[in-house]
Amino acid sequence: MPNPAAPVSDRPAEGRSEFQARVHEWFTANAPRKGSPEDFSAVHIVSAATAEEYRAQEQHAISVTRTWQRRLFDAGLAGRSWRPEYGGHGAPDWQDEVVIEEQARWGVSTKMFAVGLEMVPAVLFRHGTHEQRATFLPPILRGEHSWCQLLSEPGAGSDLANVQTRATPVDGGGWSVTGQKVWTSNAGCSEYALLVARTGSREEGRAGLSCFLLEMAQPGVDIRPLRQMSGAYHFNEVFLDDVHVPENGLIGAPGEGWAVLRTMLASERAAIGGGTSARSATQLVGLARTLGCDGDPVVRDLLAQAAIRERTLDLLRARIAAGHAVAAAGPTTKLLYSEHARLSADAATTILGMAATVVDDEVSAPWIERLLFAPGLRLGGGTDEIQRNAIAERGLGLPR
Amino acid sequence: MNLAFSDEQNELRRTVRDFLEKNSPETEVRRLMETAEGYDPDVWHQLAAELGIAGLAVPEEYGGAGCGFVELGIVLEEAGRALLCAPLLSTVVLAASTLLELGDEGACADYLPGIADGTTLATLALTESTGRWNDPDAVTCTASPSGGTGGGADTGGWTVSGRKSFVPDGQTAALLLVVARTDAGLSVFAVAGDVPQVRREPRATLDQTRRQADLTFTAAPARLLGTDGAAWPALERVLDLAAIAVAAEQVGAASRVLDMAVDYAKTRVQFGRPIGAFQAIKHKLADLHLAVESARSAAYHGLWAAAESPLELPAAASLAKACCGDAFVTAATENIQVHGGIGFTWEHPAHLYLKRAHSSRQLFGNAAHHRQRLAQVLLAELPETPALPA
Repeated sequence: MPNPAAPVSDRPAEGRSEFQARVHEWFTANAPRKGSPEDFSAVHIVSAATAEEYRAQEQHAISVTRTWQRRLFDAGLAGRSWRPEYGGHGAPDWQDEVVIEEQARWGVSTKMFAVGLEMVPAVLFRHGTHEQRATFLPPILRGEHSWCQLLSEPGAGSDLANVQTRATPVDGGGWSVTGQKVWTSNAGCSEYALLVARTGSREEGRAGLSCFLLEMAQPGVDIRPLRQMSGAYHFNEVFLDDVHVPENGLIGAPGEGWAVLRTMLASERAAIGGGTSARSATQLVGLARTLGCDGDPVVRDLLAQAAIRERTLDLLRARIAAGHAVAAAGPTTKLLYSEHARLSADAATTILGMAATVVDDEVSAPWIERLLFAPGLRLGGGTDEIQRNAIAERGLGLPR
Repeated sequence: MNLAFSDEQNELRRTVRDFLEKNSPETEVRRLMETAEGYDPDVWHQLAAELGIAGLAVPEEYGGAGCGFVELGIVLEEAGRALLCAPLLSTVVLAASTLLELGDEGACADYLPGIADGTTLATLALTESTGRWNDPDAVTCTASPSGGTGGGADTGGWTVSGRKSFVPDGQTAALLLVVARTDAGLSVFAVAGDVPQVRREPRATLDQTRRQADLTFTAAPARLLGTDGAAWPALERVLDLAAIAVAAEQVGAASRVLDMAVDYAKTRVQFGRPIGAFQAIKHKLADLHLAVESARSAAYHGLWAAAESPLELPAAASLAKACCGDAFVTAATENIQVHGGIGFTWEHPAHLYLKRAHSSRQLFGNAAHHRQRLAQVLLAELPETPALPA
């Protein structure tokens, strides 16, 4: 019997199935038990009557995620593909996938850390300095820092180049940031944010944008929750009034913000489209069986359609991972994922019938939650329409 | 599961694409559409004998290359792209797979070398007036022992009677593998195509690049293949392989029409701009890209399952056929829309692909059929405790 606390050691020449077996062994011994500080079954962010109630749920969820991320780090399972000098292991990318898959199997997740684990490293490896990477990346892996994004504004949704928030150089070094951001997830429970702001003139458009690393807990940062259609307070407005960013908070050079944003958004799309799908097709089959309508050919057709969408998306991701040339892979998988989520929730309502009209039913409630979440998936990380433009222009080469 | 292609497989694709660009351009496709045979014997000979296409998936002991279904799928994808007029599906997929799946070593030794070197054209005669592929009850053709030894080795000791419909390449196949009912159940018989007891009536097909015939058997001399009455499980596997083969072909063709539509959208100018600059066209083509890449993923998975994973074959076949058939129809339909009036003419190739799309969609079960079958698999695989969303 191996010591359950022993970390999963690095074995450079190891194949996927061997690594997977060792990860599985670690999870078997270490997956969170009920009532433990990293028990995800107690994490419940659905809706709340007040913003305060929601914030309390969110704080609990982030604390569970922090504890769990730290456990993964101590076990040698965090940042498998990151370079060792930034807290990682220098292993191939697929080892991160194996860990994510295994987490899904045990009902645990680090998805609340997606910005820190996916987008920050994507941006800093491409555009950041060694010092920035050494400063900001290790605390993410250790579960100490949660990150959010300060990108969209009331006047800059799909047209992100229209950002008006200003960053002005201050005497003695660093920047002063003033403006209004919106649709920020996890703003109230994050230590840092990726920020885009205007350093040049309005007329410069994209060329006047710069990206920053901003500390959230400081004077001038005012977070106001927004209530979304499901009743949850997941998003926030963030007002910035003379907020300070030190010299080393600028990513790249002034005016390079658009290139940094492109990297950030590509990474976000890949994170949304490339993550493990919720296994909604299997869950729909279970729902039909539970409700006793699994013999109905119309229901069966819906089940098969869901399975086809889910399976082909998984297979497409496997092809991309195997090196197949798929044009505009990020927008393609993101769009397929958002369609799958929308259509599966819609199929569930057909299967549920009148049970879909009440939210106090434990069978229907999780599906209604998805139904009311799906419209957001079609908007976040670039709307469906923006993804289609990207596929057509960058993938198929059609004129702008 | 390994979905990556090897260097050899990529090389095979390049070779076949080059060959078909030279030997199956649109002008040739249109010429062969009008001929009685529906294919070019010289081109078939080069493909089969010189490129070794016909024997790719035939084991070496029977004169083939002993490659797997993945290689065959690559060829089919390219053939679909070029709308190749050739007995690939009938001879190489249906007939060769039927012989191999029935496991009759004598019959394999007698018939497969001729298929592998391109000299024998063959097909599977399964469907009857209902046109249903996956329904053993729909088979009414009968076979009975011809009595004594009077028939001799040539006749094989059985006779087949009845009528088959929608038989792919039924008018040209020299070897007909006929599904018929005996006292023991469904069986497969080898019948020569050119004997007087077989009447062949070519059908006028929607897709002129792929022929069909109705066949009437009147006590036609026949040889039993495999075990009497035990053919259906083997035929189910053949239909799964055939569904995957058509799916690969559909992906090649769907991909070609998407390319066609994209190229046209870049050059056709209206309102002073290329029409591809309009979002209505961009978004339509982006959606086709999603459909084609999803379909390609399902088809490649099907090829992998056909080559490596017999247990997953039925679900993989239904996934591929359900996905690729509809994707091709959508792509072929929207290609005409993007082309506007010119796409609606006989001179433009768009209609050839639309006809192939609608026709191949019905082969070996359409999407609705395969979705029902997939649902059956999903329900059978469901764990006892239903999973609810977390």
